[in-house]
Amino acid sequence: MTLLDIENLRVRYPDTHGYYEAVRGISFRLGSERLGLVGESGSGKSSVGRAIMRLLPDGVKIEADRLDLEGEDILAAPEKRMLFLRGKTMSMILQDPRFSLNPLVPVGRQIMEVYLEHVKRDVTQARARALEMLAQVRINDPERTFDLYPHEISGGMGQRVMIAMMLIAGPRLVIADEPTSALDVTVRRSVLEILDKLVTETGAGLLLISHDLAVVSQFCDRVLILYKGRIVEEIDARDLARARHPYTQALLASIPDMRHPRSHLPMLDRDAIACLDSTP
Amino acid sequence: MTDDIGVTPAGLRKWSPSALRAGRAIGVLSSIALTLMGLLLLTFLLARFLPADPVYAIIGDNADRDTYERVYRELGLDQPVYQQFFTYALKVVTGDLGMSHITGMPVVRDLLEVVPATLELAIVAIILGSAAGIPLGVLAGTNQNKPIDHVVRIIGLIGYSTPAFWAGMGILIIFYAQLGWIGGAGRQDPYFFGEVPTVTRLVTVDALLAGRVDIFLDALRYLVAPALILAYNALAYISRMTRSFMLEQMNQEYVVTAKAKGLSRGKVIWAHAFVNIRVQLVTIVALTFGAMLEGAVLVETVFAWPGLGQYLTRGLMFRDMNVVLGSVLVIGIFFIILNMLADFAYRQLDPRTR
Amino acid sequence: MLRTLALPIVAAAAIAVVPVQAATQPDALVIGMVMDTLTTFDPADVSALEPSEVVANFYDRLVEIAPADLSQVLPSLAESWEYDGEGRVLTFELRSDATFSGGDPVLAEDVAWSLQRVLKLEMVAAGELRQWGFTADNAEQSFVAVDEDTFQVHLPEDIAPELFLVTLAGTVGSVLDRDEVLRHEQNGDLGRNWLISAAAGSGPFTLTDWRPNNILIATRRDDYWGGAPQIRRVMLRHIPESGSQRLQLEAGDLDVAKGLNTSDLGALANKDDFTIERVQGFGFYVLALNQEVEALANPLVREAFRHMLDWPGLAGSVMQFSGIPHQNVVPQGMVGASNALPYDFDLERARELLAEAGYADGFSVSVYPSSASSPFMELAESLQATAAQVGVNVEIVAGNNADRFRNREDYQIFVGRTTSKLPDPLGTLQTHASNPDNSDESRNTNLNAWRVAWDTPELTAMVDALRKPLDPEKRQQLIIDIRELYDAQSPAIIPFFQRVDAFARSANVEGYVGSPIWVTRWDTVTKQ
Repeated sequence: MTLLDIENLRVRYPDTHGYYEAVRGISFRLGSERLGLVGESGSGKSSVGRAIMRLLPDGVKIEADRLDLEGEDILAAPEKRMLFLRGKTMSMILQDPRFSLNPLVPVGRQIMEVYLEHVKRDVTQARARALEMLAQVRINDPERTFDLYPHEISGGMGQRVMIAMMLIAGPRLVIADEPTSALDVTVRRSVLEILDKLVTETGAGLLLISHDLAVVSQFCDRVLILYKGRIVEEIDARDLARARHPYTQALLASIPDMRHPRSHLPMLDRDAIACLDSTP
Repeated sequence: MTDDIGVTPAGLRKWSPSALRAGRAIGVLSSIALTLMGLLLLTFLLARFLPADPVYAIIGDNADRDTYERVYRELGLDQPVYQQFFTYALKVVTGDLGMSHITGMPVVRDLLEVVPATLELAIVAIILGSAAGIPLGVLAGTNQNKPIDHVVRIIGLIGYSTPAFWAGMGILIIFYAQLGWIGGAGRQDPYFFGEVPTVTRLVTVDALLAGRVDIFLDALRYLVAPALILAYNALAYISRMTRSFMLEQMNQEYVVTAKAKGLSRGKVIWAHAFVNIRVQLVTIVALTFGAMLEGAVLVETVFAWPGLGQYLTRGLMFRDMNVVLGSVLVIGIFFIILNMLADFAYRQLDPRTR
Repeated sequence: MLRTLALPIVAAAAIAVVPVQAATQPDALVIGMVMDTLTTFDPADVSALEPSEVVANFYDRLVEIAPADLSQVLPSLAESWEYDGEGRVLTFELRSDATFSGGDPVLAEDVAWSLQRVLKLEMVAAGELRQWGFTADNAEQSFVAVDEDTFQVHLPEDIAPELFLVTLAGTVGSVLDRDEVLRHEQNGDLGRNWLISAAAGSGPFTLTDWRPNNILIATRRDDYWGGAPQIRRVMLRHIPESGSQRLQLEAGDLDVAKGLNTSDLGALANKDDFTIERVQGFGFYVLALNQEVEALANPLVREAFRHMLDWPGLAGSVMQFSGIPHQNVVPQGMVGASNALPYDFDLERARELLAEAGYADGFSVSVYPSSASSPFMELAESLQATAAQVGVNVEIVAGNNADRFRNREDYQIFVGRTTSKLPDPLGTLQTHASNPDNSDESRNTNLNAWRVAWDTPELTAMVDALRKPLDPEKRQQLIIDIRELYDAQSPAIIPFFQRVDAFARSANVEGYVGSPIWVTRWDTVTKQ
């Protein structure tokens, strides 16, 4: 079943000359699967995530021939409907828990808030459910952690809190925008594993936005390669080695391989790719 | 509740908590005493450079030389400056701020009159100013460049640029002279003077304590105009600062998180962004309140409000050292109290500072 | 939103609905003033206008002078008096029905003690007695209670007794309740500390409440020997801002406004409901030319300045309620006074005089207005504009310059106002023409001639002679001679206006009569 159906999505930011087009007409569909969206910084990948959530700042134009969530036209939905959809039907995990968690609110309350908003206005139940979620994201002492403030926990814990918070209402679609790039390398994997496990268990769709092709290829079923606001290649994760597009190949080439260490990682040859810009 | 997480420097462990607390209290108190003494010394030295001769302020223009010299000695002006200060400082420690020659009363007694007058005004003004200024600032800061933002900025601009003096006269002309809604000068109708026992020295509170609603309403009628002008000035500053604090917070990632959770706009603003500007607001409100203690001279003058600002200004004008030093001391104490309250508020409002 | 608005709206409605205490009570007199100088009610320590009026109503004096004719001395606590020229003794018979507010009768020993007290305390008012030769040492021999109702003054010097009599009419002559004051004595201060905020006199009013810079409430004495005043309560209110005072007066919350500026007085002058009173004072608005400045020491230059100030223009504008044009040092209404205005505003004449003095090209000079407030600043600015036309470059040094005028090295030309409290020409002549010792060391800072370093031996001797008992006609001639010599010498202190203290009163207030010696009484006030 198709969760997300996007056709010809364009995102334009106002600038001094009128508008700058960050996303230039991309189309894809997402079912109960793990889809990776890969691109370097400035490729427009974060704009895609926030456009789906309709969380881009005022003045940014989102246009699409189709932007459907479970068959519902998101672009036409009134803001009130969006308030219902956000957190409940789709949710988003942001990059750095040091900034994305409210520093002055205990983490437990931040998790409960989603439950109270979308599931049931019952503090006792919300608390019990939040503790359960904390346990599910493998936090050792949920009772104690519940009352801690974001500055009192580590980055890895913070991102697990974020996951608990964004999954507590059981969303159908989870967008994870660079969920591990701000974390210590030693915990990246475990955090992704927790995310992966929970998403898989609930049968939700996952849009994993990342610049890191290696990570994406490990945790996703399918990968979209985004370059300068356009999708240049769509490929199964297992088939990445057979990627045809030069940009993808270049990205692949720059992944360090522990089994075959190289003294230098090749640079991306942008000139070689530049000629692709004009092609749709 | 987070004691187990707090880090205790190893060296301090051998002290019992009560000894620690006592030690800290002594440290705080002595630093306050030092601050106040430093403030006094600075004021004392600065006041030496005031142009007016305090002796003539006392004896008038036509007094002869003998009188001049007697008063000169009486004021201790024949002694070296350091000795004058030492004598003064010793008296301050015993709670004696000396006599004022601009009122003929002990400065302590004067301060007991003028400080409550100013406090009554400033407390009402800061409550009104914050109650209006903060929501307006939040409204503007969360609607950047929309019409409401411009409206709030214009309201603030008017508050900034209208001289308190003209605003005061304008209000008096309309609401006192024309409409007769408010009192003209002072804190209450002199008809009611001395009618209720003096307890707090706040006319409104004393009237209520005595159960005299008529006197309370009368005092309100005198209080409302000067308080509103001060409140409006406070509003201008508070709303502008609140706006910029909110602008900053609304661009933070946790606000995106809050929105991604599907929270309503009101909850995003008040339960998330606003929570993060409270500490800054406490500072701004405390500063604004402190500034009103001595900065309300013009309003006090127009409305003949017998407050601290007027008292200090006249002390400076007539070079009444005891008045200047006593007033500065009181203002200093208030700033220290405000500071401590603000510190306390920080610790309540921001877990990171605990 | 509605809920947050509801509270203020209800409060505002409540305030607006409660009736305003409009207009003062018919038996209350409310006076608006600037209380800057109201610092004590001790007659021995009072020197300014506002506190003098308060003291005048708490206390009685032996004699009064009629505001209309300053040379006429009237009885008050003293029913009669006579002077024995041989022994220099003034004997007063006191009235027997006067009592202090505490209930005790006013006795001769109270009178003697009150005057001795002024000298012993050596506070501001002591100078008013010391000028006649009284000292702390001779105080007890000088002021003697002969019996309960007979009081004698032994004059230490051979002065005209009228001079001392008119001195007694001022606040310095106030009679205190000796026993009551001594009950409040602390460390031998003769009650000084207590009397800062209390009163013990036989006057028509007693002090009810006093809060500095805020309000003073006085209540009438029903048993006053002169009859109970019509006004039951007098309230003095500190209203520093002229505009506020005017609004209050117009709204009927004030009966008298004493702190109005020229523009507010001018506005009120055109309204039927209000009357502007101008009370002459014994002092002048002057240009004081420091004689230690070379150019100014030239008599021709001094003469030139007499023609340099546009006094007719100023009289119609800024001075309208502050002074009346006056060009000599005997105040109007006094013996030997002259209302002539011989010195025209005449820049051509000033130019000639300057040229004659060798300053055809002018010079530069600094002018120090007494304070930055009106009218001193306007006077200085006017001088600046007109002096420039004859080549004199005036630089105005704004600020609180009153103290500079006491130090010759601190100013060049001072624009200020002189004062004297003595209701006799001797007062102003002494402070303007007398300078017994022009040396820097003498520091006779109460004499204006010393302040400008103007050595006047001839005038000083003549003024001195004015102290002595003289046949009235001779005395008048001497005053005229001094006045004319003062003018002939091209004075260093040039009077342009005589001081006027203007106040506004509501037209329904009668009997509030401004006193040139600042003893305006409230017991004569009636309200319709």
